[in-house]
Amino acid sequence: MRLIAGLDEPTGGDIEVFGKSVNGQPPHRRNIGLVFQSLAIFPHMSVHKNVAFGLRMKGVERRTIDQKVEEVLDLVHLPAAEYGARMPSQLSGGQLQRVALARTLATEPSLVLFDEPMAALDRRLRDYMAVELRSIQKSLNVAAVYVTHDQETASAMSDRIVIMEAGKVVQVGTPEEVYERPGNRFVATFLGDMNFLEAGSVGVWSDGSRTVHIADGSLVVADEISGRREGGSVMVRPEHVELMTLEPNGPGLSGRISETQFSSGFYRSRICLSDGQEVLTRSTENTAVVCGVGAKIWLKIKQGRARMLRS
Amino acid sequence: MLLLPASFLVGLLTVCGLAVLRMSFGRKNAEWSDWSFDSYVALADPYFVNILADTLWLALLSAVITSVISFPVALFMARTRSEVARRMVLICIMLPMLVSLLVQSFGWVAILGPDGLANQIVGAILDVERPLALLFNRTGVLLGLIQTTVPLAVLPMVASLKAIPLSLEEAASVLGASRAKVYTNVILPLAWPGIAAGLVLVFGFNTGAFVVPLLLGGLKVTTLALVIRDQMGVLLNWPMGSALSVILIAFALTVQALQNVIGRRVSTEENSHG
Repeated sequence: MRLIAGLDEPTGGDIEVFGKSVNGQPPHRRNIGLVFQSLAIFPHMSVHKNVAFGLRMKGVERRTIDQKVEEVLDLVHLPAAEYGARMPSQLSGGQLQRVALARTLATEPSLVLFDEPMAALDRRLRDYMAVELRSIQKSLNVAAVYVTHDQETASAMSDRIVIMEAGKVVQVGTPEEVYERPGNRFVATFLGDMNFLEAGSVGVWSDGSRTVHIADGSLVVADEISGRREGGSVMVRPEHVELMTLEPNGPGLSGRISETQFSSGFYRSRICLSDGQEVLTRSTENTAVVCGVGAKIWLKIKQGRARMLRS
Repeated sequence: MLLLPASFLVGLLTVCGLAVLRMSFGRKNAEWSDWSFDSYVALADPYFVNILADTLWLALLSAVITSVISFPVALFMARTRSEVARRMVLICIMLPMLVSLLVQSFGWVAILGPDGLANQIVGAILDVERPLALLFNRTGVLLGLIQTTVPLAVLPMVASLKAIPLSLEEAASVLGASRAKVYTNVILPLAWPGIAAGLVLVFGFNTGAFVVPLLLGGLKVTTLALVIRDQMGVLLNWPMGSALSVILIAFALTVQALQNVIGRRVSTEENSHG
């Protein structure tokens, strides 16, 4: 992020923005917007002056500046008439956030970078701001790069997610792709919960589907298994595990309920398989609660939802 | 209990201050019995007015120049990532404070004299007929006043510069501000309280300067403190000396009060602008 904005120089390689290399260009010539994690609102300037700063630096005419400031402040729902004269110390965290956004948008940058600007906000405000930020970004049709550790924000706001681990890109894709087909264990656990089950032998049916034996049962995996016939891990999202009180037809697993819990609309339970592996489930059905802790239960994986971990 | 020594000291100083005030309204040889405004009337004499103006002008000039010189030093100390470099600079800045003003002034005499270091260097580079007159004039006094007060200006500046987050500078440059504009629009306004404190400290310190003008001015530059010494020590005119002291203190207090007003003015000014 700091490299794209020009605050740091890359030790190697080339940075291109819309196909043009920006290497060696100082930050003030790049026309890239950056919303800082700390927001970096100028404490000695009013809201109006903060937002006008970028335009003033470009030597824009005073009247045009006032007009533009009013426009972007309206966009972030901070009417200039009411908030323009306020000092940053008189604003709440969410309002400062909006000022930072308005200040960045006022200069009409070709690319806006967000460096986790909402990390300091409380959860509800963060979700609200995420939706709003997304709609502002869509309506202005400006390219944006948003860095975050918060996977919910990431999947709620983006067209494309780039997941990085220890400074290296591990997967790129739409939020759905990355969630449904994670490339490795890190990606899988980054976006939501994931069950990893140690697989036994793998069989191929005549119709092309693959069956993996786990504990005393089996399940069908959706993707091709390249050559391997033994071992590996199977990934299943908790919401794709169906709990059944009777043994199902076809592939399934069985185990005992070790814990159930109700939280925000979902029943979460932990099922202990016969070989000691645990499976997390999340469901709107209260099957596990009805059966009670310790009861035997069967698990069926929704079709096409189990995948082999490629590694 | 702990306040006792402190209140004793404050009490003693107050009594001494009041004694000076009382004497300034006395008459020579009858400092404690008579009341008169003679000393203050005598202050209107152009001789004293000139010296007062000269003292304040030298103090103001030295305060401004010292602050300008100190700013880059303070900026380096506040921004450098090397702890060693910061400590080295700090030691260099603080060292003069550990050496008495007298010794420092003699040092300047050695450097600025007709045969001193400065003239030897100038003589080696340029072909000058006569050595430059750097000593026993205003230039010498000014140099001395500046050098001895650099720490007073640097330290408050460092404190206020350190309080400015780096992200503000970065935000300004990403928003299109060149390096120079970052300074004028962000760093200087935010560091202003520290700069103002330094200005006031140096000004206050130099209005009462005594040793530096005495040694580097060679009695050709007369400041208020020197006149007070002459009146009290040589002429034994205690009321006159006291009246001059009262004026000196009054100026020091006024400037102190001004600092508060300036500091507040800056923040309210920013507030009122839409």
